Amino acid sequence: MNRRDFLKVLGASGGVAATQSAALRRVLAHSQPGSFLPTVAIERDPVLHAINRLTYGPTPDLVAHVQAIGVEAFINEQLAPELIADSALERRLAPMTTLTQTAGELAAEYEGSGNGFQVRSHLIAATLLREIYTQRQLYERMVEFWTGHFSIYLGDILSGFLKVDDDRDVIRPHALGRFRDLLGASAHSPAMLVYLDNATSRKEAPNENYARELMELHTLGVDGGYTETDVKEVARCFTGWTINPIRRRFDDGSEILTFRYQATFHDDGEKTVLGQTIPAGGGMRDGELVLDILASHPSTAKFIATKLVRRFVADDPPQSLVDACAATFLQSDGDIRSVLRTLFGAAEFWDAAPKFKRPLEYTVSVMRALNYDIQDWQAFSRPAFTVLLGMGQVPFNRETPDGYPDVQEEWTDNLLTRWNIAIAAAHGGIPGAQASLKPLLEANNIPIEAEPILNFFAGLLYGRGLTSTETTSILNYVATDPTNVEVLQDALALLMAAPAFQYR
Amino acid sequence: MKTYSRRELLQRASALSVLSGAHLMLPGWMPRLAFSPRHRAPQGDVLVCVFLRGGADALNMIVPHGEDTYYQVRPVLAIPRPDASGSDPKALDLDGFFGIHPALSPLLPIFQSGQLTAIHATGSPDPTRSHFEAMSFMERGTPGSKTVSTGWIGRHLATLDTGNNSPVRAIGWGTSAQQSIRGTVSPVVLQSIADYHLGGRVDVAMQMMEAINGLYSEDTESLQIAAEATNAAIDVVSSVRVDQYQPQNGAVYDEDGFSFGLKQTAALIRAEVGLEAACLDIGGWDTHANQGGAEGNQAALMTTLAAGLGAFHTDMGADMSRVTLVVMSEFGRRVEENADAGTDHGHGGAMLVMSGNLAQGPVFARWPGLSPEYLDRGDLAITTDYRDVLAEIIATRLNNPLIDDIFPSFRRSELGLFSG
Repeated sequence: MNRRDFLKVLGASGGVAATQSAALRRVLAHSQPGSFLPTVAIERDPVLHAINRLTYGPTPDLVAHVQAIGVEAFINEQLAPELIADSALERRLAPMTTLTQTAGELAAEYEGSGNGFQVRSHLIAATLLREIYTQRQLYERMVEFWTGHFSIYLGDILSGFLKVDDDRDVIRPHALGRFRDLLGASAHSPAMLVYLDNATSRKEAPNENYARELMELHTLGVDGGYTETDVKEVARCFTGWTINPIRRRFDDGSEILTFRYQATFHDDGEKTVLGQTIPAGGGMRDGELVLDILASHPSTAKFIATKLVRRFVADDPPQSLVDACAATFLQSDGDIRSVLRTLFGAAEFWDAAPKFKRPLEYTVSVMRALNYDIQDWQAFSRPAFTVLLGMGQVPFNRETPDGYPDVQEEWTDNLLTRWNIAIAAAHGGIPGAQASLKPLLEANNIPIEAEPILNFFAGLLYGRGLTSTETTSILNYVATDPTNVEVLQDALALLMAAPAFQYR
Repeated sequence: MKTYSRRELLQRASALSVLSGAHLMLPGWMPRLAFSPRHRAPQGDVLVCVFLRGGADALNMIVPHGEDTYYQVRPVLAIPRPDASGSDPKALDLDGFFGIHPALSPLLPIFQSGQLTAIHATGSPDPTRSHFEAMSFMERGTPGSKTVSTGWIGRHLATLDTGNNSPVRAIGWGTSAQQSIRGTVSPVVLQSIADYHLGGRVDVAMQMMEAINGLYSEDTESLQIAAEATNAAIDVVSSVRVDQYQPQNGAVYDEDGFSFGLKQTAALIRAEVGLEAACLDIGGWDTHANQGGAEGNQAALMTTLAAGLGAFHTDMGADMSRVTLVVMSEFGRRVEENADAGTDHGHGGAMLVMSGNLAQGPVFARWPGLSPEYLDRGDLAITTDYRDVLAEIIATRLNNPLIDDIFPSFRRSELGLFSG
């Protein structure tokens, strides 16, 4: 492969505005480009730190943007996603027509058609495209957080129809809103009612599945102070919370696959939940009272705070920051945006050690780092799903309701797949997508040689220069055939396969 | 993109003898064990651990057909008695009181041959009915305590020096290591042996791997160990050609992931690459609704389980004398069925032990009974601690007497499951 082919692989389309190249040069100045000297003490660049924690990874444009406006303005910007235009992403999502349809419409169109899997494919592919391309990066991270918190498994065609509604009408509207609103929307969500079996729970023999996970996973946490009796009582409170089934069964004109309260299923006797009496005769109000009790419970504040700090700061969340976030949660009546402000303003956030990327985060960060443009989402998604399945993290594919784990030890078993993704990506081998690095390198006057390219990408991806070990390992490899352009691509692969890029 | 196995690379790259020699001198993951093994003994059986995720309803798998209460509290779900009239599927009798679900019929001859024992009314004594807590306690081997991060198989491997330095002492089939097998001996996690190699240009794969090793040499210990273990495992695993593996004794494996995992386990056992323990999972046992009785959702799961175990048993043949396979789940399910033709989370369940060295009959049970007064909050009581079963496997079949290290604060009682 000659140099021209290399540039072709690295992409002929796309571009970086000239105004941004100056900012990028500042980044590179910050990270000592051109220096292969050993770097002993490595301070994390605050720009890269903010990008790594709030987004799905640095892109050339984003680094330039945050450099330009500063990290504080960037965080404020990301906390107000409604003010961020996202038309480029919207154009990419336009072909996925099912995203805007209701579950009832999807059932009417796809049920029994043999094409029901398309609905799931659209939803999963849209999730990948959003993570890679949205300008509302923090918002999308919070969507992912709550999607995991209120995890629903797309085990069959019907759950696919229902999850489209849940994603659009439950998770997304409330991802930065009030927790009680989100919890209530989830409790009314047909996808959740079906997934955790509450839709078929009746007073004669209540199904405990939703009641248990509501307390264990959605609110109090397993050590949050509830008993097995509370599980049984909460299950009684939610009897009758069901859905209008896919075959129209009621004559009241209700839409199929929407929430329904069925009074004849409801156990209307008195209940006691966490020591509080739920009076007899409350009907549907029973469930709402339970949600009120749970959403405002200190255990819930602590549990949500712990999970957020684990997500944004460290596997072992610092207790001081958990306490601060839990306090904000209680004081703000569960306002998620306020909790995040507390979190991002804390010293513990800025001092945080690198956090291991989950498989999906790693994959998306590679796509973003190399400016990959997905031109054929269908050609891209099938192999992408397969690779993510092999690493155990396809969106909406967690069978159990606890969501994908968020600690390093759960995800270090698939390094080989990560290395192979890095190799494929560096060689332009991502199906349906094209990398466009040529304009970027040209705009920054980076010659197609190992050291300048490595330094440039180290600045972009790591926010620092290379360590001596990194330098030695990669340049020793390049030295085997330094004039071969494929070797330069391998070197870029090594940069992304390296431990430094496994962390964010 | 064409790819090659690491073994092929080694053959093709013979000119690079210096490099490959340097690589082969790197059992780098060995000396960094957090603590030295405390007991030295030759390797015992290969341990295969199958975990039924979700809380399998043991009462419909190992059916107490001799108990009337079972039929009273499960009017929809109960499996008909072996002598029930009619042509519908019914339980297959084991010992006059217990029978197996008809979907487990491939296991009947193995029970009858004395190489399969079901342990009933067993489980973890911690009262939790949470999947995640129950699995965590059970796999760590520390019911009620979350202070230990390693798993029971992991601690067995760490405390026993068998002289086996293979990078594939432990394998977790799937996408991440089962909690049971975690520990200082890095388990290899994979789905398919055939796909376990570095991609990219074949002629530089060895040098790329050297560079990757270099990059990981200064990272945190855990990631460094994971990288080196991956590298070492590629060497060993790529020598095993699963596509050319011929199951013995006429065994035929199904195509599902569970059977494929067992087939690959068999291939590794036969290839003598140093495998000591393998973990496999089957998910989907959380049957709150539409569980089905003799047919239906749980029956389909049992069909998968029985087909895999049956093929593995046939394939192993006489080698079952050096293999112990155990099947477990985090808990059993509520004795009484619910309104959704399903069952909610329960307590006591069942385990299966398959081995060529069993001493007990088809069912080992100190049966507590299903009448309300004998239940544990509506659930089957536990009369045999699951750790007694595992401890006996470890002490008797795996040559490791250090049960106190593996199940801390546990006073074991002997069950006499094995003949030798």
